[in-house]
Amino acid sequence: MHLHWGWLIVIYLFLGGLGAGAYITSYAARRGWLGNSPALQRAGYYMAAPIVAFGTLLLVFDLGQGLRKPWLLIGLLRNFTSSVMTWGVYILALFICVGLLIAVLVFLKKDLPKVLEHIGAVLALATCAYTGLLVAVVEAIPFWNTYFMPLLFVASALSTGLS
Amino acid sequence: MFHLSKLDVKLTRRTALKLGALTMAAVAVGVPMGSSKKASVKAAGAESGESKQLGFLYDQTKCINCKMCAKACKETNNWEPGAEWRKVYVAEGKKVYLSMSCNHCADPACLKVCPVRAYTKREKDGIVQHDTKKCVGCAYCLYACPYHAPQFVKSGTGAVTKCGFCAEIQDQGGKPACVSKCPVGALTYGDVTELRNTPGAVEPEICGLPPVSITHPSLVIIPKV
Repeated sequence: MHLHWGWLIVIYLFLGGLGAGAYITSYAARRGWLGNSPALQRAGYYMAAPIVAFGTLLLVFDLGQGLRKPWLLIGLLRNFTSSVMTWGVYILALFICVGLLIAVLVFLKKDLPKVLEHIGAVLALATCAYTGLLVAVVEAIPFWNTYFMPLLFVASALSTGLS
Repeated sequence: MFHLSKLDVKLTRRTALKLGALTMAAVAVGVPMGSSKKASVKAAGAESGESKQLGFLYDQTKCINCKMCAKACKETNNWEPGAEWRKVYVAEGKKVYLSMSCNHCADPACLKVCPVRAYTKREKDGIVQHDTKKCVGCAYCLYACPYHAPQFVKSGTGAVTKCGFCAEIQDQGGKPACVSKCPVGALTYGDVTELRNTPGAVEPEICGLPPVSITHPSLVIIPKV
């Protein structure tokens, strides 16, 4: 079987999990779940959006038409009803936006609206989980076709982000 | 509670419960997402009145591995180099063959996973069509299709192509190129519900093919026993 998703995707998966996990780490730190380090509270919030954004850029490079016909990319938002990949595009776009907003607010030493942080946390978890779901719904590859996949991706991302 | 080098990690019951709840939330979001997808696609596939599902009937007992079907398809549809819309598979060490292109499944995986909705399934005859103009080349359908029907050459056009059942030719009253050119009549086509009643015909779960329950392919095979 040909492997179409090559090393660009592998790096994106690492960066996506890393960025999302970093965000969750700061989120947890700000709630006192990980001790009392102010640096930990900021680091993840600074790193999350740029890392995930760069990873997403790699995704665009990996597309067969990504650089040739970039105007087609808006079509990725089309199949909300049945394509996990479309969900991923929404999740990534929203997470990067929220992440950038939070990073700017932290940099300017402003107060972070709790609601915004919560939304960011949900999006971060979704970023970790959706790729697992993406491969899990492929029934043609039995090794992927299990609920364990999203859990695996979340666990992996959290541990990477924490370190 | 316990010390982790410079960190004072207070892992209380409260924290553990919160983490557990968060995890459960993630699972609670993911699992229904997965099952709701299947429901919505099946609802969309509900037929009305004048529609049938076209399919291929492949007779293994007649096939001589001349590969005229593949050649005809290639010439008619101008495959890009590296793309093979129809292939004739040969069993290891046996004179048993399998000519297969796209099975225009009743529940196509390609259509389900495509983020740009490049795939559509025709109401009147169930032909699954791919619109190259919409394709962004994500290759998700290549992983999703159990029969390797979509073809993708990244260094070529970078967009997916596949068997379209010669829909344009059929619309003008003709037959698919592969069927027309088979010299022994091993490859035929028609209403798959009727084809399934052919004496000796079986579901395409032989020769290492995947379970039909995944996508319900519109393919019928008369096996060489």
